[in-house]
Amino acid sequence: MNDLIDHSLARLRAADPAVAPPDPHDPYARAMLDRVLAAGDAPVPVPSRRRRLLPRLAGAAAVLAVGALAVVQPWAAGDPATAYTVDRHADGSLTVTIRVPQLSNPAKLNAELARSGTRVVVLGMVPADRCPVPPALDPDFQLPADPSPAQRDALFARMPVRYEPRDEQVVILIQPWKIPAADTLVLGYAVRDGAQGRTTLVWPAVVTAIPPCLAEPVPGAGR
Amino acid sequence: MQPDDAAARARFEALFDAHYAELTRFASRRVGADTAGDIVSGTFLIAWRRLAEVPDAHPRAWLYAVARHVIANELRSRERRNRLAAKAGVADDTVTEDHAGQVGEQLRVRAALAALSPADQEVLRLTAWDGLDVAEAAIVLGCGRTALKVRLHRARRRFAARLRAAEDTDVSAARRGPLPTILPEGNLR
Repeated sequence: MNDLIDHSLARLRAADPAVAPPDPHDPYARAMLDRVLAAGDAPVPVPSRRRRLLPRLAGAAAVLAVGALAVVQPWAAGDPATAYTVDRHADGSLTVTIRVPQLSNPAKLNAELARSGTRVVVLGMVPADRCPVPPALDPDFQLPADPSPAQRDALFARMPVRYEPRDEQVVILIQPWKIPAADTLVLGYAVRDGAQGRTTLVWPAVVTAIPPCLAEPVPGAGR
Repeated sequence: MQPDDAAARARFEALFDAHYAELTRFASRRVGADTAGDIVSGTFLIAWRRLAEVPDAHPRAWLYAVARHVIANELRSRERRNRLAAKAGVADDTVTEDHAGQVGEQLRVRAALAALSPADQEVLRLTAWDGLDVAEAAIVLGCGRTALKVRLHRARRRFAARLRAAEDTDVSAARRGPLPTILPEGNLR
């Protein structure tokens, strides 16, 4: 079988329909380069990753646990089979890696999380008008109306979740021992298409009851 | 021109010089030589505007990932045009068998590739034609290296099986020979 595959691949390589490699210094290529430099505005500086990933806790954060994680990246199409992975660590923590644009239905992911015994539920967020009832957040994981830096730091220390964007994925580290016994960690997710590209939003909430739905954060609302 | 602008321009020109040829070939494999220039131009325009996002480690893979989006837009437009052409009764995609050998062989191989799923086709194109390694192909397709290896292995197997099946069909058809249209008397049982 391997010989057959090797032979088939050799034939595939020989059937490459590509044109001969063009010279980047020929007049056509130089004209294209000039057009691009002339047509395109100056490169847009990328906001620092730190700023993009900062949870938006400022403002009306009174009823919210922690801010949404926003990741702006040029998502590529891919295999739905790689929409998520769940890795368990020796200390009891979990790493959930999700590719939100491919996570059309989190049911399997939730089943896997349930099998691990972790009280974590992943929910797709919907527009606010389709989910008017706010989730029942644990008061211990809410900030006051005008939180001080110390209060924010304390909340982050209490939160059972950390984020990290990695390549085109969002890696979420969950520390189950930080979830109070009667509570559940809900991870809301959504994708927005905008001028800057596709933005992935991930919003964690420690709730006393699993909500039937979760509303997308409103831009500028501090979540 | 500010020093930063000059540095950005120099970096972009180096990027253009390094990847123009292979990006043109990448695009020509997917949309044909006529449209490849538009794809390359569109891709570099995005790269120029988002130069800060182009990684130092695998710039080629980043460019290919962007080019795939540009190509997807082009193919959507082309599909609309083809639908209109079909409605007008225009057949613009006729493939004729070439009996000279090499071209016929290439058509057979490409037909076997085209019979696979789009995902299989793309992973094979990226590795066999575009010359990407596993790490780069994984970046282009937005998956992990392990997933890429699995997909590539399966795609190679399916491609070999498809090619073989197509050729088995050709051989049996050739052995059968042309059917007579008129049977002479006496040959009928």
